[in-house]
Amino acid sequence: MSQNLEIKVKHLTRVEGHGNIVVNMLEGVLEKAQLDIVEAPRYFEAMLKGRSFHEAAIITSRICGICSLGHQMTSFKTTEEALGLEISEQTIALRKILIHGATIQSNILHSLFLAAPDFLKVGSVFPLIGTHPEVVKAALRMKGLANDISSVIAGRAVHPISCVPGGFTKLPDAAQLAELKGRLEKEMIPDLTFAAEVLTSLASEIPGFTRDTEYISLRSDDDYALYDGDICSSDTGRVPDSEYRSMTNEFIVPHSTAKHSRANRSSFMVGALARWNNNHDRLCPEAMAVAEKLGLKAPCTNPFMNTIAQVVESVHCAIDAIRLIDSLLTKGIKPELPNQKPTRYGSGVGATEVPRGILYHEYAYDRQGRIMSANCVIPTSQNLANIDDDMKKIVPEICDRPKKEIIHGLEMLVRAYDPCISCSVHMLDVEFVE
Amino acid sequence: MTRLMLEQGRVDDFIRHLQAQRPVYAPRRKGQSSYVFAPVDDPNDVVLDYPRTLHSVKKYFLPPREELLNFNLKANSYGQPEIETANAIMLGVHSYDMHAVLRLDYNLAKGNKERNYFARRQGTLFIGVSFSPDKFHFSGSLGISPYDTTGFDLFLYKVDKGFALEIITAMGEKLLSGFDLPALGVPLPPHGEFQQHIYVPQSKLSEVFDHSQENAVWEEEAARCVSCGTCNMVCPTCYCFDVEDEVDVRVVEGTRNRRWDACMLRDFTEVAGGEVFRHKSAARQRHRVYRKFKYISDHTGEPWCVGCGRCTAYCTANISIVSIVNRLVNDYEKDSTARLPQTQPIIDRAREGHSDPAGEAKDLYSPVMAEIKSVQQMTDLEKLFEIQLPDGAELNHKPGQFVELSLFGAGEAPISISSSPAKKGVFDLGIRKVGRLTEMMHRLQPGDRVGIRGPFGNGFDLEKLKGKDVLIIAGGIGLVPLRSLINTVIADREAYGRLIICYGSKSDQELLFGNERKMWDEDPSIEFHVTVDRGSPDWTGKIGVITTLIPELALDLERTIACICGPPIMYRFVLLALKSKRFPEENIYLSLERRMKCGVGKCGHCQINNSYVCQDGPVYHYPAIKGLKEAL
Amino acid sequence: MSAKTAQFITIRLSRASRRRSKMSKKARVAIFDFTGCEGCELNHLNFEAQLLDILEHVEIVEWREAMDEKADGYDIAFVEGSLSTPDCITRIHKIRRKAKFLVAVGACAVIGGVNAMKNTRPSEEIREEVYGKDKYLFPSLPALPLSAVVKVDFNVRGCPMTQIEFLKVFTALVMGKMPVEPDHSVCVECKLKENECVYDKGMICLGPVTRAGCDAHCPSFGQYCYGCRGLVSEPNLKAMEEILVNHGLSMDEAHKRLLLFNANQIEGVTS
Repeated sequence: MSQNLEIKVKHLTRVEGHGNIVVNMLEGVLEKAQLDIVEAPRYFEAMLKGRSFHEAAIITSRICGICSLGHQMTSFKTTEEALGLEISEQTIALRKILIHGATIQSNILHSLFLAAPDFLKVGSVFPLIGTHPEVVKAALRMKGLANDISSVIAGRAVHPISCVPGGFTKLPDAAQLAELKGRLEKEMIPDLTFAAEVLTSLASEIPGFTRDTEYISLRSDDDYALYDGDICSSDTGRVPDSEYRSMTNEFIVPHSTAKHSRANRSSFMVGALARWNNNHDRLCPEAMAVAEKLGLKAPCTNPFMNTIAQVVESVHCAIDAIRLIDSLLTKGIKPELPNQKPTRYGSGVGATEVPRGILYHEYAYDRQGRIMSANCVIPTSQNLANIDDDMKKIVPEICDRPKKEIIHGLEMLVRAYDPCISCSVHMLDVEFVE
Repeated sequence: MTRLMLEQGRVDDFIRHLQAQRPVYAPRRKGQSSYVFAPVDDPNDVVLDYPRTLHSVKKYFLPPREELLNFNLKANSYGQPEIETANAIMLGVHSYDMHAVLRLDYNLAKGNKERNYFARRQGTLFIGVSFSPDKFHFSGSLGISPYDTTGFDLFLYKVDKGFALEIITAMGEKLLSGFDLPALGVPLPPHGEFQQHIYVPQSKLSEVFDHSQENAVWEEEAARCVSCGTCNMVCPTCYCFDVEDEVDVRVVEGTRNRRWDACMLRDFTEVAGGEVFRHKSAARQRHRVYRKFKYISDHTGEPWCVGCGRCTAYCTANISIVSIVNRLVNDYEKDSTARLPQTQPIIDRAREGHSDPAGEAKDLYSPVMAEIKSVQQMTDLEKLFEIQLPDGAELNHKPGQFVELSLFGAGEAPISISSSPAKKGVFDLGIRKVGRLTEMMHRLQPGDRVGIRGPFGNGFDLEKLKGKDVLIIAGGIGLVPLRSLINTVIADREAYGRLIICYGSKSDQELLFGNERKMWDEDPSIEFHVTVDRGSPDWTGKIGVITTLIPELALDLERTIACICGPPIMYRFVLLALKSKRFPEENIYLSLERRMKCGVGKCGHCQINNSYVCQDGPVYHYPAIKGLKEAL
Repeated sequence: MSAKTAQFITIRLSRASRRRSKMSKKARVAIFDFTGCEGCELNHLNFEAQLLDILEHVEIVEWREAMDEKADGYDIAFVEGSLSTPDCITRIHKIRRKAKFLVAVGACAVIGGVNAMKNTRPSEEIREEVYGKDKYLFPSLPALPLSAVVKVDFNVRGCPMTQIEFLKVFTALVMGKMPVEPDHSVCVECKLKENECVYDKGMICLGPVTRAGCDAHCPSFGQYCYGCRGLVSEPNLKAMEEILVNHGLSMDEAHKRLLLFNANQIEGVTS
């Protein structure tokens, strides 16, 4: 029984970006349990100011390589709203396929490369090449195919090229799309099924911790909302994306170069588990079947199950991507140039579900199409308060275990959120809470 | 001359008729406002009324990227990819692009006839089409009219309601068999007028360019030029290339690839030591334009620009080759009145080159695999390798020549031969570790095999040296090629007069050929002088730069021949020192360093004005290069 | 040159050396990240097809993003991101001391990347704009390329770095030869592919002064080149700005477009 506990994990591994876990317990009283974000701030606002609308997505994409496609999509939606650019159905369909690819890519990277080593009690994916070669090969194949979706449609997976405000500078041809579809059917679906089986066998390794919190995601009437939708809280229901500030309420805490957020409680959760809790009724039957197999039930208040929700969601993305490609192939790819003729110069808000949760961008443009002000709210920032709250609940529950185990438990908890720290320290707009 | 009428409505049928015989390549749209030659799938895609394509048909004979060899690092062996003869029909080629092909034929046949190009080129049939000159075309000034049928098998003149089709060759006639066309009853309409002109004929231009090296236009245009190389890349008569080895991630297999290169790029002339021989953008611009109107033209009598207008049309800085040339003309002859261009018969020599059955096209880029017999460490940076060709064959080189040394994965580099031809069975390469290839070479050991091509270059003319006093001036690794000459003289000592060797080095640790130096020093028939810039504490010899040796020499100026080799910077000072001794210029020979990538006069990197160092050099008679701005 | 060569010899895995040593020692590789988007690191993980082949030649001994282990020394350190805090400077010195070879990976590490745009304005002003009265809370430096602080042996350029180019550098290092770094414009590669010139589409493009090596990937996908690979040596920037202005940009915007990735090279570092 450890009444005094001091933990400092510097530069947490197997997460994107730099964060430290800090816990202080003195004579049984928890004084501190938090994730310090120590990534260097990057001042994207200063960079965006005065930039042409052509550059908005090029720059915001560089906030994060992992979420670059998500940043681009959100940026396009924001710019298109602000400048009154109509886009075609074909553009929307291609963007949705891209998001499916990016979601699968990121979910697989997290669940199988970064989180799975915890379940198998190793320090990285590399030892698994020897012990679980089939799992590694399947994971590589899935990631490869998910990236190929982006490479074929948008030029590359990290910082995609051909998607721009108003559409695409280059369109994929039908043969390329048909090939992707074939590979999704023949490779992705069996590989995902296999991955689900592997994770089912490891289910007992997932900690049984739960904490009820507010879950926020996008929601739409006809879709498992990723590209578009209203903001939906498990506590208070739907509001339009223009009200995002009241759903995020960003504030600064001294231990983090990334801002924290709250909505109706002290913290809320975004990401795959929030989407599952709010939108499981919109998932395709194949994904629901995998959820059942993996023991994921709604509502689920165990943050460690975020990893499982990612796998379930990936199945939906693969199936929906096949459906979307089919529909494009039926209609035929029509040659079109991006619509980049502004019909107004104002401001706009864009909200998109990226793998780690809702991403918001807001820009205001001047009459020359240059950015006057910008704001981005990043999913990882939104989760940080929730991570701290989880840590405050879990530390007393496990504080009698060996210190090494406690540390490992806390690392697993933070990793389960799949935090993206580069994103969270973008430092765009800052409002100070007095 | 029979002309037939091909109605617009029958063009698709005509193309299908051609497709039934051979693959057809023709212009089609690309992007928003561009055209490219491409294999024809659907005749509907073919566009015969187009201003110009991005690349000319050159790309099918000299591809932008081409695999020369494929190799296996484990086996240290290589193979060659099969070269496919296009055996195709090029449909819709403009007259200037056809002329460009004929010029390429000349260049790729001259000296060493390149197999890769001619294997692809052989058997291609060309169907020309007339064009309407736009604001960039100026081929008319170079003697190439839109109606010029030179080189074609069939030719299509744009006329009302379709094309007038003219049969030029028997092959063309054969292509047409089975496709009946009525005779054209009316004469051809005149072709469109050119909007761009160069106002003097090539014969006059040569004279203009003789006096234009220093013209202010080069600096003025350089101020606007970003040295992107586009003008070279789109030129239908440019053929310079670079070669690079690529290795797969398993580090087992790889390929030796060549790609088009551009003399407008800063790194084009850069050698392993870091020197850039045309460092200023103005010098590169001048070189490019001289290549088109002077250097090759002086050999052939023809302009080497065909007036397609690509370099100007695709220049984002709007630099116009026509404006440059006209500016030179105006500056040269302020009072010249506009003269109509003289049309001249075009490049019969090139046509011969291409169709000449006696000129056998050779595989120029495949090395023979030779064995390293011994390795000797000379200094920290230099090693001496003895190399043996397969079956003990002799290299049969001359002193001053070089070979292209080839290591798979690292590429090729020109290396001077350091042994005298008198040494039999093996030859020596003295190699300084300065780049990727030489790094790797230094790790090899006796028994390892390396690729050798050559010998290349002219070497020293021994007949000029015989009976004369020979003065060797060597700076640093300049001794490596000169050692071949020294040992040649020693092996046939009576044939020459005095042998005087001046050798300078940065420091005594860097002095090469220790044993031989001792022999030269002790040999009474050799006058051997050594100096170093910086001596170590136990150095008892001279200290000072190499030029300090020269004033002390007692020379018979009339019967002494100086042979000089060293780093680029050394030549200027040595030449000054010789001049102050009143040493006759006509008795001086220099061996120059340049980036000799191919060794066979094709890749263009080593060119100094109109001279390819790998062919006409590396040994130059000083009076011949004295006036060349870029030489020294 | 000779010191580098000596290092090469110790890590080479060439045929000749294997034959001599009769054992194939794998090169020890570590991967580090500084300020950046980690897209280049992600691209390491994106070697789906080649990852297993790569691991035949190397042992990855430290990589925070993918594994827990730490190492005392390494043959090759691949480092991503720009340096922008005092802590970064300490860390990069430590890495340099432990690494035989240090390879800068991606635009941030090689030239400062988009992060360096902030260097064109006084740091005080930017920090105040973003943090207000708390501007001294988090220390920050101008975004520097690694080469501003330590010796860098090789560069893998681009934002993100391309896998093909990374593999080229990687195989070169494994073979023990110097990788080649092109020093000519993107236009060369764009023309080799016979792309329609971006300017002919009514767009602008920084390809003419941007270093090649990407195989003109963006123009091949219809986009313009925004200069992520850094500028060629001795670029004629005045002429480049004139080209941009002649194609419709204002002088101010022309300058801004050029700064997107190349603020450090164009303006020098301000603090």
